[in-house]
Amino acid sequence: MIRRSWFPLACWCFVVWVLLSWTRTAEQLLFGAGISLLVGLALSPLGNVPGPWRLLLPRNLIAALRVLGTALVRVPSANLRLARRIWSPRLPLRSGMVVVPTQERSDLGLATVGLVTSLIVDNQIVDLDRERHLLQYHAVDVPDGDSRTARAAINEPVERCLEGLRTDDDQH
Amino acid sequence: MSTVIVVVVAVLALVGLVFSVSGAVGILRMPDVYCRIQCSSKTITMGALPALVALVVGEGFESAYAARALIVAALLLTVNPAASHALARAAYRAGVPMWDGAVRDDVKAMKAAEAEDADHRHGDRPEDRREGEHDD
Repeated sequence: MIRRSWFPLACWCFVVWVLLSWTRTAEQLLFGAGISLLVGLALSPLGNVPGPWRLLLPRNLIAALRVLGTALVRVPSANLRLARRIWSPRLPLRSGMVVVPTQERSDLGLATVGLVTSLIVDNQIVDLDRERHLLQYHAVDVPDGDSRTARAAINEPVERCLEGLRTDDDQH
Repeated sequence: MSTVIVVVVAVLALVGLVFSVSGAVGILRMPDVYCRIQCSSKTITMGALPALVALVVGEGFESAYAARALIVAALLLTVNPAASHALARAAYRAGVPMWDGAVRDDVKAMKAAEAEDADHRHGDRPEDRREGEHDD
């Protein structure tokens, strides 16, 4: 699925070049393409990179939009809760380390869940145990109940958005 | 720049400022390093994003500022959680304790349960050792 080549890396580099330079002249674009080619060739030994066109596949696009929607709703509300807690000393602080199970198996799935759940300010991913499929979080407001209840509050909403990708990524 | 745009930019900048100040106060007020990491990294992310949106609204959606703001936002949203993860993981592995009021530590509980299981499997319980001493 992911080609080990310089081309996807050069494409990402060219996207960044276009966004940074924001000058749509032939000289700029050609120079950017040349630089991107060199960067792609130089950095390709570092490992596989999925190309930007993978985001255009309907399944991936839908999953990305769902994750974005979940983050857009949960990030501001969690930030408001934490800001309220910071400004109100009377509110009890129930922090702690929580271990929750995860259904994600792929690198992409684990990285996405780790990043998005950590953006939601209630939780911060601390570590993961890939063999036992566990994620360790520090939570500012520890959910009541066992690890399944904690999963429902912390990582399940994000993992649900990635369900469409899971089968395919697990196979690779 | 029209009055509406000026108001929108001012409101967004104010929202960003409120979250940034909250993050700074949180660093001072929170009781342990883990809570402080969360205040420092993510509330400040939420402080920077409205400021970036204010920049885009003020300068126009097709300006060079918008494209650069997009790159800065993407970097903030990916690098910031990754950096705070690295800090929190390093702190926990180095044995930095949570504050006394922390309500839960599943990792500690799991390690204690595993140690107890290992003791049972190897027959290394204190009562077993005492029985062995009597046998000798």
